[in-house]
Amino acid sequence: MKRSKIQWALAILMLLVTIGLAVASAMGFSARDKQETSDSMQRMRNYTVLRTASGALVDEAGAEAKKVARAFAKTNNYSRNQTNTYAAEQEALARAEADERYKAFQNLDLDELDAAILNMENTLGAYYDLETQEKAVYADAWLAAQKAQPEIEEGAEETAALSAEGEGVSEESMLTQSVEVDYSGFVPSAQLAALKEQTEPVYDNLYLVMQKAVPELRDDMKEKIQPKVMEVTTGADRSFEAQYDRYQTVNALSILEKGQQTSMRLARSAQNLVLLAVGALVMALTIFFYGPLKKKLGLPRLIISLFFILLLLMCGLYNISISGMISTVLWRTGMYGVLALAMLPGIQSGISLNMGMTVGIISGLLSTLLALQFNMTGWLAFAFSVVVGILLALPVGLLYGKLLNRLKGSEMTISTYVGFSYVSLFCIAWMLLPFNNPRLTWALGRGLRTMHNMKNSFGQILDNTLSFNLLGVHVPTGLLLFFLLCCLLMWLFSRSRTGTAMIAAGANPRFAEAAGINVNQMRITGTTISTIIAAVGIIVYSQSFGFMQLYNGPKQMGFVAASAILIGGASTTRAKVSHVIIGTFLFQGVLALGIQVANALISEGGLSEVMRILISNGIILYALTQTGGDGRD
Amino acid sequence: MTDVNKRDKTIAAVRGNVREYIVTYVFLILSVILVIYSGRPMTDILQQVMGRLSRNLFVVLALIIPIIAGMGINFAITIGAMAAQIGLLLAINWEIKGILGLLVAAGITLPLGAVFGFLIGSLLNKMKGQETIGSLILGYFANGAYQLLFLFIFGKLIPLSEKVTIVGATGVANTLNLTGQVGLHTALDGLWRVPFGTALYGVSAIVLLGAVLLFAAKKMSRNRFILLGAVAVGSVLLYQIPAVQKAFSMANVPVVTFLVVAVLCLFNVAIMKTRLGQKFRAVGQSRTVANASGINVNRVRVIAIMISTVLAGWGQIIFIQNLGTLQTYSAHEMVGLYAGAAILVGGASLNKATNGQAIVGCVLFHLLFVVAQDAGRNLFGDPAIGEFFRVFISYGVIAVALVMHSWKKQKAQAELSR
Repeated sequence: MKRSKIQWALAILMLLVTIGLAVASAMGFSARDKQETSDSMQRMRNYTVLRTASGALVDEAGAEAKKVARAFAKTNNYSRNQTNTYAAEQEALARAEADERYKAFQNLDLDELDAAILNMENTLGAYYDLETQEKAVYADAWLAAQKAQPEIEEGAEETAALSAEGEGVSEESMLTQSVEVDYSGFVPSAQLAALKEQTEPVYDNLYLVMQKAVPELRDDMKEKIQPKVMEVTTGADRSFEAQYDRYQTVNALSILEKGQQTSMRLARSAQNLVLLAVGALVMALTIFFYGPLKKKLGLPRLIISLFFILLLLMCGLYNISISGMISTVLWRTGMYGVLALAMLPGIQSGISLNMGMTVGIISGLLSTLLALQFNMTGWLAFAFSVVVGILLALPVGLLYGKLLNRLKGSEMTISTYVGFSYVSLFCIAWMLLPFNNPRLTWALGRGLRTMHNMKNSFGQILDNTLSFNLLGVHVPTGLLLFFLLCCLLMWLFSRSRTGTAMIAAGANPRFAEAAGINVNQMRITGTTISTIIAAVGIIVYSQSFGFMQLYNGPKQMGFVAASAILIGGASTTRAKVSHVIIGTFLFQGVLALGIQVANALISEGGLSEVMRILISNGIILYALTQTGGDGRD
Repeated sequence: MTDVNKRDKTIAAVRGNVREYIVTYVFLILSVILVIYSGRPMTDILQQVMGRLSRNLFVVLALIIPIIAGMGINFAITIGAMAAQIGLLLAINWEIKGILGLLVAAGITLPLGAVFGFLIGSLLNKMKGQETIGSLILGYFANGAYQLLFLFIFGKLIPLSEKVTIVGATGVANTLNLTGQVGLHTALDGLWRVPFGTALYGVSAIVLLGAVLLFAAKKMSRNRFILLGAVAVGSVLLYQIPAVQKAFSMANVPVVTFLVVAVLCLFNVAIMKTRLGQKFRAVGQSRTVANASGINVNRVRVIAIMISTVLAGWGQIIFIQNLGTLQTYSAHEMVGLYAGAAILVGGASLNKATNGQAIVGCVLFHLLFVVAQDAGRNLFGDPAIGEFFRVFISYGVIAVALVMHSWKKQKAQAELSR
């Protein structure tokens, strides 16, 4: 463990940065409790309220000047462009002038203003609290009502209809669609309305005080500026940061003294500084332990782990609800976990990454379709799908294993294309198979629909079993237990006699052959188990996702599963159960967090999809290069 | 006695031929069946096939060199297509019209494709024996980088004109139009078009003349001379049948495009006669032997991929100028799959490919493409089935070729160890 000088220097530098940031944030937090700070805050607030009032006057002056300018331009026959420029100029001038005029507040009785604002704040605060509560109740009811609606709209389905080439519906975009609650039907309760009534006299009082400070403020402007004043005095969010940001919209900080400004800034960013300090600490540790970390994790895994931590910190910086994020990551881990587990027996038995696990997935889809065809619901439907799925996957897996035995050395290439061919063959089959339940088939034309809603059969049946909320984190207990149970079974199997023989056959076929193990038999066993788990995996995925995707839906599943297990630390020849769990969590975590952060950074879709493509294929490429230059030819 | 011997020999030769080209023959039969069931007039089908040939053949020919160098089917040609799309985007952005615009795009593709090819080749050198899957996944990976470039870097960090972006949204527009004002649509095809008959007479005359000259100079064997002469004269005679002439009446030949394709065919033949070509072949046959005889195997492989990537880029330019629109985010996605399937249909394998196989494969594959939808509607009452069948055939052909290649290799190994 030798470290270069640069490494030492960088590590120490980052450590110093960490300490600096930590001290700064501690100062910021302590500043929040100081009397000075709350005084400054009060001054900023008063300024903001008065500026809001005078802002209305400035607007008025500007509009007036514009009108005059336009009239002037008309009488002088200005061209359209000239008129616009002239009017804009005049407006800006008038605004600047008015701004200057109303900036100096006369006869300001600070105590009176304070009292009035405080009164307003308390009354409004009570109102907002109740409103937030009632709205939350409404949102829950609204969402529940939305869920109860039987099918997704016909139209949405048609647009996502058949496309044989390309990827069809982007899964990532389906997973991340956030539901906007429609508040148009929200009716405030009597209590809330009463609270609203109470704010009126309080506002009247405040307006009087404001008129004293800004005498030009006329009575008829009262209604107009009310919402604005209410907004700046008390928003729904009353944390230190939110208040500060509200006041800062009119640059209220500029009225404070220099030193005071700095301490206010520090207090505002205290929380962010903590996050930055953690980030710097992680950097310092990574640089210091770069050698062993790289050796243990490999470069791509190290980068992905760091990326995961970075995303977590960014979530903090952008005020993204951490508990909500953890819920999503847990959900997605359970959803994809079993599929990723399907890679494990493949790698262990020596057929490397089983990209052709889609043959198992199709079996799972078929059994689910059967359950839907016979209108089964609940646990019966789930159990039926799993059992029939396993029965269907068994012969397919055996045959597929036999095929792979004749193609040793290039299994991954061939299994990828066999998988693709199988998926596109079943694209034709979905059109021709004699399913006739109207819930499954297109209303017009022939064939099965692309997306099937699982709500009326076994959608979310595992997710909702024993699920509970802990500190805002929604834990889908049933789903996670099912995933862990599958992992446990695989672990027990790898301990059994057959299991150890299979792993030995995969790790070193020649040695295993010499030890009397039937390598071909073991490879078939591994492939078959992999196929069966894939069938179960897609059923778990569909119930969790809420939709079953046919046609090109399963095409990329092999890649998702392969990247998950590889990120967890597996190679194409060696894998453990722990790799599946860690990898799925990390991969899905990076994706789920990345989407949220990307949305906060730039409000543009598509970045998450790009990230998935890069990470998923990047890790597979890395694994391929690790198989060694002249390896398997 | 000698007669029987001769007959046995012929039968064995035919059997060997059928075994080697089984995929091609199956495809031929399948195509004939689907052409009959599609119910479309021959004139229409032939016109379509001719159009598809002119835009797809170049890319298929770009696959030959890596196959000879033993790197399998280079699915990373999608990356060459991406380079070409960058070139086209810039040509549209700079408002360069006509053939000049295409030349600018091709000029940009050359260095880009060469650099990308160098990177692809270097990476594939780290996964020898897994090049097919490696290049496929590399193509997917590059697609991610491409989306990143076109969505978030072009238009934001690299300013572009309003012609290629959407106001109010980030990134390059979804569809770039090459027609009308842009003036790139059929900029190459439209240079010189002749009816099929004229083209046939011209090509036959050239082939005949060339064959006579080469035979006179004793550079060609007699069998080959007779074969070429028979093909040239026979096709001209066949064309005299009114029904055949009528079937081809709608087919138009873009002469310059096919000249470019012919130049590439000649290039593919000529490079094999050079020292570099010999190295390609040596590396393709056995890396160990090539290495022992002092060839820098890795370098030769990288060069093969570089050539293939640049050529594929140019092929994509030909493809898009013929099509007239550029689907910015998806035009490159299927390039590798369709080209790979086409060359395999023609009877190429993972370590053997010729110009002839590429051309035959391209004709058969696109013939099937043209008729699959209508056949699907007539046989199953839904054109979508034909569409799915096309995709299934593409993947299926590659899977079968891979399986057969692997089988052959295992058999050879088993015999060797015996």
